This record gives sequence, structure tokens and C-alpha cells, in this order.
Amino acid sequence: MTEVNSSKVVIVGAGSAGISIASRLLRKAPYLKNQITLIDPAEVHYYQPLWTLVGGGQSQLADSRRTQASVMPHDVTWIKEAVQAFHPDENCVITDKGTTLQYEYLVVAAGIEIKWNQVKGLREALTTDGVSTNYSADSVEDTWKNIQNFRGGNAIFTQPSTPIKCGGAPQKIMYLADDAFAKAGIKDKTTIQFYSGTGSIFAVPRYAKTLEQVITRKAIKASYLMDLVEIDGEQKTATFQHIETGDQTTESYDMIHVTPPMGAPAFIASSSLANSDGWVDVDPYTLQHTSYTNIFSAGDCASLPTSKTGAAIRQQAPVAANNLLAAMNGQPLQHKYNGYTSCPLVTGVNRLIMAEFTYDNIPAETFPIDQSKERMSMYLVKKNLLPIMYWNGMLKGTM
Amino acid sequence: METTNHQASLDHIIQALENKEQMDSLYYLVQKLPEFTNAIQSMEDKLSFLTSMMQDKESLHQLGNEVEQKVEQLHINQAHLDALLQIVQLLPSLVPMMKRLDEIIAFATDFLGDQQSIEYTLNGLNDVVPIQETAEVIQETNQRFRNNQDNASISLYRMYRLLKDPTIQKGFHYVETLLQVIQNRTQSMEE
Repeated sequence: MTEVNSSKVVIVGAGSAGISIASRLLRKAPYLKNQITLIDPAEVHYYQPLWTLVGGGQSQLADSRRTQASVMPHDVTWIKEAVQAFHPDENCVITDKGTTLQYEYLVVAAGIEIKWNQVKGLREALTTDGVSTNYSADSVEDTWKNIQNFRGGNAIFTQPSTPIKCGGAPQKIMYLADDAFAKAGIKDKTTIQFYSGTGSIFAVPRYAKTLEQVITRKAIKASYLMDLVEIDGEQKTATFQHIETGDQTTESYDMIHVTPPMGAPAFIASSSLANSDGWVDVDPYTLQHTSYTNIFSAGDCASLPTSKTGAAIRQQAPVAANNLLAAMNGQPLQHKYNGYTSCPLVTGVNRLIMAEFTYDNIPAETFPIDQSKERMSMYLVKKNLLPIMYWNGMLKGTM
Repeated sequence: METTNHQASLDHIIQALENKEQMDSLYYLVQKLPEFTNAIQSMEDKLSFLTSMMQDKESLHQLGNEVEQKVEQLHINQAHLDALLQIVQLLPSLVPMMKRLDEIIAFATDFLGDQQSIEYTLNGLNDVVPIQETAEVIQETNQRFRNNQDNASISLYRMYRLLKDPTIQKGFHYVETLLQVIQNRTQSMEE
């Protein structure tokens, strides 16, 4: 049965961006009460930035989890379905249950998709001994188990060449694991290797300099431009391929933490909203779609040339909400997003570099201290303050 | 002559009506005619009500008196009007601050009503300051002190033994270091 509904504003995705934008719209324009519809099938809402600490044994998974119903703003309609197709010329979206939803304004905030199948054998390997990823609620606790069960040998940490959510996360877990190995007294019989598909340890030179020192201090072997292409959980081997030369190398591992490749959600990439890379094609400053003026996008699925993080969404949400209201009221779009993003780079237990930068990797630090240094204070901010700011501020449209 | 002029005007009108724009406008007007009629009727009703009210001197007088009484109760003088003007001038800078304040209050209210966040914060505080551990030490000390029936006076030997306790020793070392730092700072300031 096909159901047809309509809503003044439709938001695709009720993650960090979708809920923040909905809350901001309602705070700024209470007349939109009961005129906003969020579409998302997920019943659980996760604060994923905490998963690095969960995998590193410093936080509990339960602290990152709330029911979607508890974070959903009041006075919105929530459709627990998944959008399958966009029809921007007819101003409607179609869900997997066949619901057609008409809109006047559309916000696409559907996040990023993990491409598990791009690494041969990865899905199967995740059920085997010593393999885990912090990028899945089902596996993140296995990372800490693997670290605790590790008795020395070859520990591998990977980062793909594709865009990922939180670009620093693949190395953060490596530093926490190193601390745990040192504490367990097995550092001397352990080799830690970092295989990254990117060209350097970090894109922003100011923070890369400190991270290079961290890698040297921890005696980590780093290999760049190398993508994980295959993993054999039974044989405990991982195969990497050089991005430019195509040369392959196979390594044995005793534990491996995999950051899987990611990309634009397929239903966006195949739509007329997408650019050539599959992301929602928006103006990088106003977040308005380049062809459809009644469509906005924010978060990981938007074509913004900046690191995909929750902090970036915190800055994008007010811009998207304010500019949508301006468009609705026939006013010029005055709010601009400058590409701000933040990556709290955990370099060990109680140590963190608080990287903050804008488009073109220009540092834009908040605190009146040198944030390129490893600091305990910044670690406490990440662990204790940012989750509260997320649940009680960002999702409520006040931060 | 008059008939000819009249005919000429009609021709102009008919000619003008042949333009697409004019035809579209006419069509629009005809389509909207019911709405326009309703609007005019509604305005007519309101106008009639206003006219009737303005003629009702008694009601107007009563209304005026009531307003005057309420305004008098406010005791507004020139100082208030001046202050109001100043507030109006300050509004562009006040409004962003008020909005920020509103956001802070909303955040604080939401946080205080969120049991999970409060527990998370308390657990986090415990990581930094071992509140739980300290509380347990104090509770145990109190318990032992209450149970201890030893009323004997503290001898010099017991005092000596106490001074050799590692915790007390560590404290003394800290105070010693602190005094050295103060002394060094004082010396460098005098130089």
C-alpha cells in the first residue's frame, strides 16, 4: 500500500545533523511546530565520538547510547522508515515502505555509509579472533577485549584512503592500545604498525608535527598510501595495496583494528542531488543545494571539503537552519559555514591534542592555550564535557 | 461626434483585451472574483462595526477611562520613557546576549533534568578527583574513631611514630619544597 504524506520541512536522517537542525528550526521558528518530519528507521541514537574511548577501555558503550525517541525533539513527526529515492523536481521523497512524502523544504542529513564489502573477507573476519573495528556498535567492545587479550606480537591499525567519519580515530585507538600494552608490560615484545591510505599522519601540518613525535616516541611503524584490500581471519593475514603503484604486501597479525572504507550513501549517490563523488552537492558556505534552492544538506553526506566530524556538524547545523528559514521567508542567505571542524586526537590515556581547523586546513583554536600540545585538560574535555554538550546542548539546538 | 468618440474608446478596449497579458489578467480577476467579494464583504462588516462603535460615545468614554486608570497605575514618568528609549537603542546588542543567555538556561535546564548526563558527569568527576575513594576513607576513619575506646594520652613516642608515617613525611617534603620555591622567588624579586 502506498501512503502519501506532506510536510513543510522534511529532514532525511535523525543523526547528529538531522536532530540538531530540527531543534534549531523549532527554537528559531516555533511556528514550524508539527510541520517538520524526520525520516530515520534507527531506534537507537549513538554518540559515536565516544567509541574511541570505548575501544580503548576508557568508557562504556552504554554511555554513548540513548533511545532515538528520547532525543527526538517534541513537536516533530518521526517516520521510522528509510528513504530510498529523491524526486527533487516533484518535491518528494520515497521510502522503503513505499511512503511518498511531499515537502516544501528538504534537509538531507543521512550521514556516511560504511563500505564493508570493499575489503575482501572483512565481514567474515570481524567474527574471528583478534579482529575488530571501532566503527560499529557490534564490534567496538571487541577492540578492548582484543587489546586485553593481546600477549605480544604484531598489532596492526588501518586507515583507508576514502573519506571517513572522524579522520583521527584510526590512530587514536592505536595510541590507547600502546598505553595498554605498556601497562601490561608487553611493549618489548610488540610491534605496532599503522597502515594508512592517506599520504601523511594528519592533514594539518601544525598537528601532524606533534603526532610524528608521538609515533616516534611510541616506536610505531607507519606506512602511507597503503589500503587494506583483503583480510583472512582464519590465517590471520592482512593484504595491503599501494594506491599509486598497485604493489601488494601481506602481513601476519596477532590483532588488527580495521577502519573500513566509507562513502556517500548509495541512495544519495544514485540521485540527482549528488555530485560526481556521490555527496549531496551543496554550496560549501551556505549549505544550500547548487541546483535546488529548497534543499539543504549538512553532516557527513554533504559535499563539504572538510573533515567529517561531530564538531563540524555543530557548526553546520545553525547555518543550515538559519539559511533554510531565510529561504522560506524570502530573505538572502546570510549565514556562512567556514569549514570548521575539530578532531580531538587522543594520544594516550589522559593525553590529547585538540585539533581545530577550517577550510584549507587553517587552524582555528578555541582555547587560549597551544592546542597542538598533548594535554590532560583537553582529554577531560573530550571524555567528560563533550558528551554532555552533545546530549543536552547540540541535540537541543542550543550549542 | 460623441458616438464616434465612444466607439473609438470601445475599440481601444477591445483591442487592448486582445493582448495576452490583458486576457490573462482578466481571467485571473474572474477566477478570484469570489475571493475578492468575500474580502470586500468582510471589510464592509468590520467597517460597519467600527462606525457603529465610534458613534457609541458612552462605550468609548468608558473604554478611555479604563485605559487611563491602568496607565495611571503604572506611574510612568519621563524617566521611564527616557529609559525605554535607551533600551530600544541598546536592543541590537542586548538581543544577541539574551539569546545566548536563553541558550545557556535551556542547556542547564535540560542537563539538570537528564539523570544520565548527571550520572555521567559525576562519574567523570570521580576520574579526576577520587570522590568515592576519599569518601570511603573518611567513612572508615569515622567508624574506627567511634569504635576506638583508647582514651590514653598521646605520648612523645607515639607522636614520633606518627611523624615517621610516609603520608606525613610526604606532606612535610611538599611543604619543604614549597618553602624553597617561595624563598627562591623572594630572593629573585629582591635582586
